[in-house]
Amino acid sequence: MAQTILPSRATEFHRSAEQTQGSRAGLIALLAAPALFVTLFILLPLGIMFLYSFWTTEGSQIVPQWTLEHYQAYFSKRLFYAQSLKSLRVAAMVTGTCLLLAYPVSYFIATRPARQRSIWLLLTTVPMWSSYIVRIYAWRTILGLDGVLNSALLSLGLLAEPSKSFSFNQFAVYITLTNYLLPFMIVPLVSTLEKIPPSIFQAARDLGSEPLDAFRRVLIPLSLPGVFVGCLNVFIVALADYLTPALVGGTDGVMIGNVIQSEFGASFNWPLGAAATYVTAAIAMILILTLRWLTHRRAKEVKF
Amino acid sequence: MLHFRSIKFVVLLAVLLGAVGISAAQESPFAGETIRVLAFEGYTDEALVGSFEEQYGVTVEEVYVYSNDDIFANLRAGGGENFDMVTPTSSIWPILIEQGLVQALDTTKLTNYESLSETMRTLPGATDADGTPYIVPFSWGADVLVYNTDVFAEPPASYDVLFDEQYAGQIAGWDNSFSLAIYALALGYEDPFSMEEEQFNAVKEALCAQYPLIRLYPAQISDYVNAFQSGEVVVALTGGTEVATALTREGVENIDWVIPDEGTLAWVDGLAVTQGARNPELVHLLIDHLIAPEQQAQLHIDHAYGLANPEAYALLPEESVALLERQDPAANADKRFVPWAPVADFDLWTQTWNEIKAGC
Repeated sequence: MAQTILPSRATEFHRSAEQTQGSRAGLIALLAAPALFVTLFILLPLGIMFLYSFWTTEGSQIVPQWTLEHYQAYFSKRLFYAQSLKSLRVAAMVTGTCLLLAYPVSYFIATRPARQRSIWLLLTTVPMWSSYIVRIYAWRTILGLDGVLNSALLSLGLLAEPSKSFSFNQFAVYITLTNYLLPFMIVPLVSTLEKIPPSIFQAARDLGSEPLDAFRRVLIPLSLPGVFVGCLNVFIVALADYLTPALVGGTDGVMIGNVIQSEFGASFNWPLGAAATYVTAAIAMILILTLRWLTHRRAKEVKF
Repeated sequence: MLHFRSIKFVVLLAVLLGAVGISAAQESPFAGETIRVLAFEGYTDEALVGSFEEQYGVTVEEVYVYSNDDIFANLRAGGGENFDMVTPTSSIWPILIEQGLVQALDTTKLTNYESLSETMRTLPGATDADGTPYIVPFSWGADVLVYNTDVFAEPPASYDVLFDEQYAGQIAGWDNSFSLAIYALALGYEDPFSMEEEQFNAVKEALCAQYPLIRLYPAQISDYVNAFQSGEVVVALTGGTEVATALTREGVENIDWVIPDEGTLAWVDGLAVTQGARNPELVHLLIDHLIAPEQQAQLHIDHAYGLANPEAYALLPEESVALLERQDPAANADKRFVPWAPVADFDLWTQTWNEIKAGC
């Protein structure tokens, strides 16, 4: 019976091979435009910047005189390596906090019925409708000396006088970036979590696993690909950001982005700026690959 | 019928517009031309160039820059031919002439040139070694201390106040690598822009020691305004009186400014015709327009800058004139006024400044 209803595997295979052949030309044509775009506007500029990092500046011109001095400068000058380390630390803290805050929210959203889910997702992106700069200034109003937080603590009697420890420091950078990047963690987490069938969780329970145990040994490992993508989103943006430290960072919130920006701007030393960019990117890449290896190894162990 | 009528209307409109265009063209030999300007924001505002555009039937098209290095980078990118006019600061004037990026001026075509401040007209780099003028001074400002009058009954007379533990956490620096030169001046060095190595290191050391006392290093006027308004800061080093003026305009009354006893660094921004300008004659006309008393007065009203043409004072309200005269070197004869000058190793300055800002 089944044979007459379903096409045989052989014919199905045959047909799909034919289709593939027919659409290959189309596929290439389809991919040519984005490939050209990526090459021209992403790979080429990055390549030029990489080249610049080995060149020097003379007066206000970049000249092709090969040197490694900018890379040496990065590792020998405290300004560069110390700011990089600080930025990595801040970015890691922001990523960790976003993950802790986003996971329960994402789980909640992912377990809603499909129609509600899209509404919840839409709501999480509402902050992104306003300009990033507006949100930075909003945090300034909240954390400032005459800000909302200080007035609230004063009126509650928790503070005798307004505190300066909320704004113009690393704490303010950390809070602002966490708020800004939270949706970038929630969206990939939800899309991973919603694909995990609830029955798997049920099966774990049926097989005698405690709820917490099922969560730890089933749900978390299965959601790791989403965790990885979310962390990647948040970490990279936080590491490279320079606007938040410039606006709410004060004197101790300066990050590597600000240093790089001034090398490209005020001092017109593009080669040094490029070298600092590439070293920071390399460090970030190593961390990301490590994280990927960790999450994917764990995810594979529990593949179903 | 309706269709036909609308065609008639369009034709009529086209004829009318054409007539307007032709009449403008008949009046001006430059009609339809575009002047490409590389300027600091505000220098070619509609309020300043609008009447010029109308008079000559031309368009002023600006690209904004935020630093003098940006000016170099942009001019270099087009070999000096991609812009017609630039607005450089005195710290790069000599270099622009040296590198042949700007051209000699024909001052006979600048009817307002003679009324400009002679001090500014003869600054190093405004002319070449032979005295040929290259750059027309346009606006200026001097670094001052802005302070909260509730905290300071007497104006702080010295830059020392910026190192006073008593005000720890309530002091604002200025996010500009030329802060190094200001503190060199404060330390009494002869030439703040070309320091000996040990002088440079002494300045750096002083600023590193100052770092813990600093609340923030603002880069923009709005950041200063915010810091004073919220009471975060009681005294600040700023690049000009514009900050105090902005605060007054915001309704903050307990604010004043002072030029410290050690003196001040004065920046002067100028106007120049690029080497590759498409129509130097037209650019001369625009420069003459911008240094005319009317435009100079407007510049002060809109942006509170000091002016190169004192004849504009006659067009300004009394309090503006009082402010302008109060910051004038003539009213501060006992204080040093050092104009911004080129720095040999600017990259070192920027990096040092970055290190200081990051806590050394």
